[in-house]
Amino acid sequence: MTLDLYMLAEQATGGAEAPISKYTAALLMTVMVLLGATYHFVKVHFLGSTLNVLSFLGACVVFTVVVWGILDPLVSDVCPPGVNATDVATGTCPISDENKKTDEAAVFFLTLVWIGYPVVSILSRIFQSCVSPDGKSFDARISFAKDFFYAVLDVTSKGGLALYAVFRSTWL
Amino acid sequence: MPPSQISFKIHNEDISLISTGAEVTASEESKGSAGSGRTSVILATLAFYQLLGTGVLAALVAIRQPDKTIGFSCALAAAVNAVALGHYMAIWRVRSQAVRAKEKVAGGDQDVEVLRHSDWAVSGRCSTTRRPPPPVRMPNKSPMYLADNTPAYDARPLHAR
Repeated sequence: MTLDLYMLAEQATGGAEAPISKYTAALLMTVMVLLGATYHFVKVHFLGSTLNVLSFLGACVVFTVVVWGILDPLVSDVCPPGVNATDVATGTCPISDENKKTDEAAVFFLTLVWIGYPVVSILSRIFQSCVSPDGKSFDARISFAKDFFYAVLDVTSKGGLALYAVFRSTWL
Repeated sequence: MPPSQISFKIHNEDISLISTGAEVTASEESKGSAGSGRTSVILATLAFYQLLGTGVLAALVAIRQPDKTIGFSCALAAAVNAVALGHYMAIWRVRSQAVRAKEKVAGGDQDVEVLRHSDWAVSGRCSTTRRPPPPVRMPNKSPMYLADNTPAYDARPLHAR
């Protein structure tokens, strides 16, 4: 997904360079997954450990860096290499083409939907600790809420990306 | 996780089960309605078929697309959907297993969490089969048995005596 969103962002800006390359971002996503795995492992085996909090925060920081890497060229209206700024006052290249504007909106939407994953994770953890401070029991309502919100996020981000990629091919 | 002990009564006999680590999911206390378990299965099914539809569509466009850049973008989206499909199938199995076992939705919660996480890792693996609970050894306090568990009466069928 990171690679796909990077490609979409590159095409929306006309090839503007991102602050971190797509391959670095893909590597960072692996680091984020490893940190997430540490968080999950620690949560299961040593509940309440400092490592738990650190790994989760580390994963969030890496996630933020990747999201910034994808969105920064769009937010800052970075000019592609070898192209003069169209907005001379600010030295930027705002997107004017309608198709590219649609790409920009899609990248924003599909990337920002990702923020829902850590939010659901944090909220479920908070509610779980309210229901069972010792972590020995589960609440069926929390499980159901997690199922629901993760399904919505998956369908929106992954299914949405596929649908957008398909529709995009019809007008390009 | 420290071992947890669950006690209950069968025919006025006190039974204790000691549960540790992975098995604890099967017997942990859960709160809420069993109906939400079935709804979770429906949710997983809906998500599965939605992702299947969009994934197949993206794959078909990727195959038929003459522009390689657009085709690659569709192929990546199809691959993402394919990975998510595999995980939703596994999640569906875990949740329906819990419903069939008449557990509440919390059954297999850890399994589902690991599956969701491995969706990000792509190559992550998780066993969806739950270990059977430890065998319950019924303490034999019946006067019909001796201390070494041998019957205190003639256990042979009448015709064999």
